[in-house]
Amino acid sequence: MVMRITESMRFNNIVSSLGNAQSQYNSILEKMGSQKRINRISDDPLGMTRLLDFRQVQASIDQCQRNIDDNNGWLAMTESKLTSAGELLTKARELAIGQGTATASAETRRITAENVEQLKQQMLSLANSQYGDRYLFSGSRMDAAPFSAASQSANTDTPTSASSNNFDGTVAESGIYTAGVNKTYVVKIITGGILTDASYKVSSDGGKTWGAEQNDLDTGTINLPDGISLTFTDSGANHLTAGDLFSVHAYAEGYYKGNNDNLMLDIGKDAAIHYNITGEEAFAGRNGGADIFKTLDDLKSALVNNDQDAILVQLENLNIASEQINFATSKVGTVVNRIELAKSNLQDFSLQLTDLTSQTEDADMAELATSMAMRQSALQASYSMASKIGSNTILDFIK
Amino acid sequence: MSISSLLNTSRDSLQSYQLALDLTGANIANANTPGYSRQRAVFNSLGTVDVRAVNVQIGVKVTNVERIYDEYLDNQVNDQSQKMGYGEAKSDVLNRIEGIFAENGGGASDQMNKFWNAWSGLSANPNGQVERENLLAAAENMTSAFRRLDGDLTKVVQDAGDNILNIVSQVNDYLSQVADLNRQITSIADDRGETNLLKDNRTDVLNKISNIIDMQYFEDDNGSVNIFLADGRPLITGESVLKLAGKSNLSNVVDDIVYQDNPGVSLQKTISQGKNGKLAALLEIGNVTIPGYRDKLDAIANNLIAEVNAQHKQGYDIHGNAGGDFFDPTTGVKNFHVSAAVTSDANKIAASATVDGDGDNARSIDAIKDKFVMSGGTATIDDYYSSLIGQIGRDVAGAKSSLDQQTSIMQQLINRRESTSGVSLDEELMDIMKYQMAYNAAGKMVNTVNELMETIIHLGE
Repeated sequence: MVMRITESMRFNNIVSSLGNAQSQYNSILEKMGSQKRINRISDDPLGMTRLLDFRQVQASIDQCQRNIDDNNGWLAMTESKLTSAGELLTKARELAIGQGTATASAETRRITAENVEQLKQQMLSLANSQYGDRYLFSGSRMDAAPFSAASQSANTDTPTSASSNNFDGTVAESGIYTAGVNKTYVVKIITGGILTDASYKVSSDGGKTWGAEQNDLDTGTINLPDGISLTFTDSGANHLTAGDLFSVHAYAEGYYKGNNDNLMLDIGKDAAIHYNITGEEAFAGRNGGADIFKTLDDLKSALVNNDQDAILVQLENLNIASEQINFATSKVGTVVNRIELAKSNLQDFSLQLTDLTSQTEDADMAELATSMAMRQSALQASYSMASKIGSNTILDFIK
Repeated sequence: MSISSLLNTSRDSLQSYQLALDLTGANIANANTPGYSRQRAVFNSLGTVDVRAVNVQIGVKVTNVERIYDEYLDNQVNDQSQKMGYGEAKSDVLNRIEGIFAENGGGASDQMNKFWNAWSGLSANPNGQVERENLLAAAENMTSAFRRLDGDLTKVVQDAGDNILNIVSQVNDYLSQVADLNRQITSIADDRGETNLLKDNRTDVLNKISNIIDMQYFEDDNGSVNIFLADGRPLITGESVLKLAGKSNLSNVVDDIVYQDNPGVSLQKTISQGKNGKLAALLEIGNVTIPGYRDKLDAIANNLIAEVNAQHKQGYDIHGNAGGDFFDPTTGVKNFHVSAAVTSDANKIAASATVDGDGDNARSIDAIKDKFVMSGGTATIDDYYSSLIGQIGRDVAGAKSSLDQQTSIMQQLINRRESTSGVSLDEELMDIMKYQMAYNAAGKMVNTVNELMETIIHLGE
């Protein structure tokens, strides 16, 4: 028997096929409007997941590029200050060579000594240069000028008790600092209580790494490495408490107040570059180099004292100092090159990512236009079907 | 056999064809009534008499009004209607959830990227106030993006709960209607078509109940329909109805269904495990789907809190104090906040690895984004979030395609039911012609009998 077809079946069918045609047409319109293949998560869940990954990588590339751009100023300034320092040293060498000969007189040497003093002042202002409010050559101690005009003997700052500490007694420093470089010592209280109960750890690198836990605070005195010690007096209302921090900056003899910490910049995933030059390596020359300020001061005294031999000794030191500055300058050049390379890699990567993102996300307009034409004709067919549906009935033939 | 009995025969035919025309009229009138089954007059001969040893059929009578109806098909429609109800409700809610998790810029994933980048930016200038404020803003945007996700999900669960209440009261209403119809149908003992309309109504109501709740029913010998839940617990036995009620959980969200007169027994599993009917979908959303998503959000928030805080405590703030908690340590995505200490003073951000102030700790925190800290050390936090987004996308796409499929199956079933029970106007028009001709012929018969009578009356003249 043939299937009975009723009027409401015809209407139901036409309504649902109109609905289908409309919704497919609409989805194409949405894609054409946004030019995107994925407009909501369910359009392509896997593609969306990949998109999010791409976006994350893209965001961190963008950030690295921003880091690099912001850092360019720092590097350019470091390079120009070091170049100027090199020029000052060349001038000092010319003066020393001129006054190191037998033809120079006590008079010319005294006048030259004034010139050297001026060179030193210029050098000091170079070494204390700031980029924004950060000192270029102070390591990680960016809050204070790294060089002083006169040499200071080995010393320490008054110990600082962190403002979040509970302990309200006093802490004092004693002893003579014997190490050759500046360090920041930190004492962290591990177990609190009265002095006999308390235990602590000591860090020699500003709190990055810690020694073993110690329990010998009975006398209140901690012997730090390199000749200095801290003495606690539990005179306040609160005893030492776990987590209390005490730090002391120790300075070796000389002009330098900064430290030798590396400053690192993220230039890519798992890639960071050490971008600063510390005063210790460029100016203080504490690892077998020449202390530029000492050299200039010594040269000045030699000139004042009209001591030809001493002048020649300082000339030798000036040569070493020049090499030291040149080496630092070339180090900056290397950093600049590496960063440039990293930047161009990031740009390449970013282009590839844009490409991948576009492949995943963007709609193929040609394909869309074609399927839109198809859907349109399907929709038109549905419409014309709908318009004819009522016109075929037996009523037309019954008189 | 007398001439007057010929008149009776004609009268019977006129009445029968009129009734048939009435039914045709009713069919045409109800051509678009949902659930209506077409009706057909069943004609029967009144029997035979012997006229001079010849057996003659006499008269006709409409003995029954038949309701053209395929019970097996109707069961299938109801089954499919349950699946559709589930699919529609689930798809509705999932579409809403998809909107909540939309990642078109400004989503949680975007905010996480900005958060990590802010750490990287701070590492390049650890004492910079702008960088610190920037990080603080990024962290607050990120936590609030995650809290918004949580809040929106909670809203969805609440709305699903409110919806459950409405639907439960609808079911109760329908159940009462069925019980009422049962009573009326069983009270009309002799079924000669009088109950057809009532049964149509009942079929329609059963259909609506199927759409809402996972149930089974059968018609007993009296003609009553008994309704049971999927596990055999009764809803209707004869005329007695066991009404349902929604039940709220501790946070005042309706997430369970119970009998009104036995609120201790949870029916949530019974109703939802078969994935049939709207209620199953709504219960599943509140009890399974959304808690599943929220667990993942919680895991992300908890890991961010734990990892960032642990690393933050390794560092030192701008004043050389040891870092404290960066995020409020209270776990759970709804409590995800930047700690009050950091919010009130951006200098408390521990960017430095030493008391002196480098940016290494900020770099270490930025590096957490590449650490495999989720799913037992197999995924980064960002991976985990993207996979959650992927899961939601697949859930939505899956619900949509299964709904599409069910809709087309439903369409076919409805067409088949229509094909059996629906009214075809062409057919009815043919019937009108057929019955009209027969009626005319019966009328002609009366005329003829009349003439015969006249002939007989005038015989004696």
